[in-house]
Amino acid sequence: MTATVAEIVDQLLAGSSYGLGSGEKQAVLLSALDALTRSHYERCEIYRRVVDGAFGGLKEHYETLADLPFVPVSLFKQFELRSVPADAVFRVLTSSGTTGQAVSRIFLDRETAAHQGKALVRIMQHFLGKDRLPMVILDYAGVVKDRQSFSARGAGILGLMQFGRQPIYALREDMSFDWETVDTYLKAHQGRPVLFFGFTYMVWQHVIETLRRADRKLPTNRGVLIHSGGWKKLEEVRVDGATFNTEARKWLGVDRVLNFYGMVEQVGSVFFENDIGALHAPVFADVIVRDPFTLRPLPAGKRGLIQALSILPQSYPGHSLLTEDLGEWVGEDDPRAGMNGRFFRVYGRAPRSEMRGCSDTYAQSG
Amino acid sequence: MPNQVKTPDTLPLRVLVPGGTSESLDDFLGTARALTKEPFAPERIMFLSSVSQGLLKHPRLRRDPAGAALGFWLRRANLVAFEADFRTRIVAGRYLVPTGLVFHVTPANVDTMFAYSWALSFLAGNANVVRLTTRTSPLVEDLLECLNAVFVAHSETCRGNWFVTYGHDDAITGRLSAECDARIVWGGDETVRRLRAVPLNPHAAERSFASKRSLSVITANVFLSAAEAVRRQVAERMASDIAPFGQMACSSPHVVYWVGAGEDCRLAVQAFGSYLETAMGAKLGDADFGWAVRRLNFAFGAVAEGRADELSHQPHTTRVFSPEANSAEFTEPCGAGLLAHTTVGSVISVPLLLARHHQTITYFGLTNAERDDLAREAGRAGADRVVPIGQALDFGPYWDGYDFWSDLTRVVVVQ
Repeated sequence: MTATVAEIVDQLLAGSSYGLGSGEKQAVLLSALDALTRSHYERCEIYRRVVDGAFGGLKEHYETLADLPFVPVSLFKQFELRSVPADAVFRVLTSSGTTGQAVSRIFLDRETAAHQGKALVRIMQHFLGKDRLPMVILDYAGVVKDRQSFSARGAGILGLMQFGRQPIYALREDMSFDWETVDTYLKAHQGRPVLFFGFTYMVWQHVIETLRRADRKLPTNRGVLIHSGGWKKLEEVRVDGATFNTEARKWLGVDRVLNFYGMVEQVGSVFFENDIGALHAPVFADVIVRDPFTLRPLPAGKRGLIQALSILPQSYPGHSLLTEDLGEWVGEDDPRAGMNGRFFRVYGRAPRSEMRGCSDTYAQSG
Repeated sequence: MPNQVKTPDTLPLRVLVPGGTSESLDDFLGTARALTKEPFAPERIMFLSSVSQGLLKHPRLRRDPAGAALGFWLRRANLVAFEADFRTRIVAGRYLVPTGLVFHVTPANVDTMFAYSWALSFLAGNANVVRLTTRTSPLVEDLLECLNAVFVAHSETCRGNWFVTYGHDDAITGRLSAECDARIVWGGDETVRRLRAVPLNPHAAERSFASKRSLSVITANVFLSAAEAVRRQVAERMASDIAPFGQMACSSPHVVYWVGAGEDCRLAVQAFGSYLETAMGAKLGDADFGWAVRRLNFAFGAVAEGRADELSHQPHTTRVFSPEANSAEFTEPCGAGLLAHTTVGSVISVPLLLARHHQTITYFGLTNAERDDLAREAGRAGADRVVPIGQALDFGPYWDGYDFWSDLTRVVVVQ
């Protein structure tokens, strides 16, 4: 009897998140993802239709990770994709779509939620060590109020919060910076590294910009800023990664700034930046880059659509997702990256095609 | 250069053609109705054929399928054919006179539509004010440049004709609606609803073009048994119906109903699909990243919904196959090169699937009797054009089931 997916996850949780070389890792992932594909096929009717209609049904045997079926991430906005009965759903995650847009809904059972939480812990420990640090969340408390249904932001904060000792929120409900709370907290933890966490744009807009305007640096704390959430809005205000990092170090007083790429559809198995500034797949996950026109997997250095694989989703068929993000994979098991596994770069959302419908004489600028 | 015209309410109306006019909106509206001409006045036919020559000589427009199509459509021979058709309605005791000042609200999805709508009205002898969307394109810029050149060369003939643009401004629309004799509204359901709320001169008539959907009908075994050259040609013609305007013109098909046994149809779809991809590649050149993602999302959505059980994604086209004809159509059309294919037992099943929002049916492999039956039955259901594949985008004076000549003229009874 081969190991179950849960057993594989547990084994990997026990080891280093970046320990396995690609050959060994792919064998382990393939066996878990093959099993997940079959189990979701059996338990989720919508997923079954996709596998049957778009991939000609289940294959007897999947040779490589690239052979596995995938679903476009947009389907989570249109359908309730769930592989467990409704009463087994422990938490529903939603993406923070812009107003008017459909949001993704992700159905977690207890085991999937636990695995995602633990995987995140293991990945974070790789960067932060095992000690929990004093933590300042660069957001407001209301974002995680409803514990049944979370936005991607809320889910991220809740996931990361477990690394903090007595975490506080730096922003008030109106997004203003809570100087008093932050000052008092940092004074109380003087001399210890502090963990700051927030979403890239929130951190820039409501924290760094505020500190800059007030010309008030936070005390040097040898800490680390972890941030995530995409660069699109920052590109609009012409802020690139290097600027962000420099400014964050300067104003937050941290030594390190770490970005990660993740999605609400695959919470837990996030992709942290490695030593050479590329995003790195942890042992629970992998990426494939596909040609958007043929869907064939692309070699290193070729840009295409990022497909994200994760062995964590058991309650919903999100283990193999075709994202709308444009990227390329750069290398794997490279000593310069300091870790094993594949690493890649993301260049943002694929350009949205504007289709002028019949009915838009007056639309937008019209 | 487009100039700013200050109306009494200082409304930001820009006159695109004629460029550099010094006339005010008040002056234009005050004189326009007096500048109408007999239908098919020779100088107006001349004027349009000059526009045609300009388009067909223009370095970019003549290479652009939509630009070239307009140039070809405006050539003298075609205008003369329109005139012959128009003359058939002239009978003793009735004069046809232009309706007066026609206000055209033209759509964003088909860049060249404004020119077609105007040209027919101009031929009918009317004065015209044509509102273009503020969202311009290189194609539209080139077209306006060509029009302006002819307007300069024949400034007398074109008096009383303005091409304008303005923002989301009900006051300007209101002013033009109060002054015009006919309002022609393109742009789909949303625009029609908005415009209907703007009062029209009590004497004026309105013609509205709501959102429409189009489709194709092909007899599977006729296609399968056709020579390879014919099969390739059918696909090439389909490509010329769906490549322009991102497939978002109302008359571009989105669903192909294959007539025949299910297995024949699936076989035919596969053969057709690969010819179509080649033809679309030849027409569109480099494939568009965003379009590919859009097609993938729609196609996977159809499969996930259970409406389709087969999906094939290629650089310029994506196809899905729906086992049930009545659920083949997407609620919202994807465009960008996506076709849904499905199968029906006989041609006469198609009308049962249609409603009044359907417009053009393109066909291949039908007998004349089948075609005529289809036209009658589909017509009663809602569709209003049944044309061979390849002619979906050929605009004419009978459109969406309406008769432009009748909309653009008034009947004077003499006894």
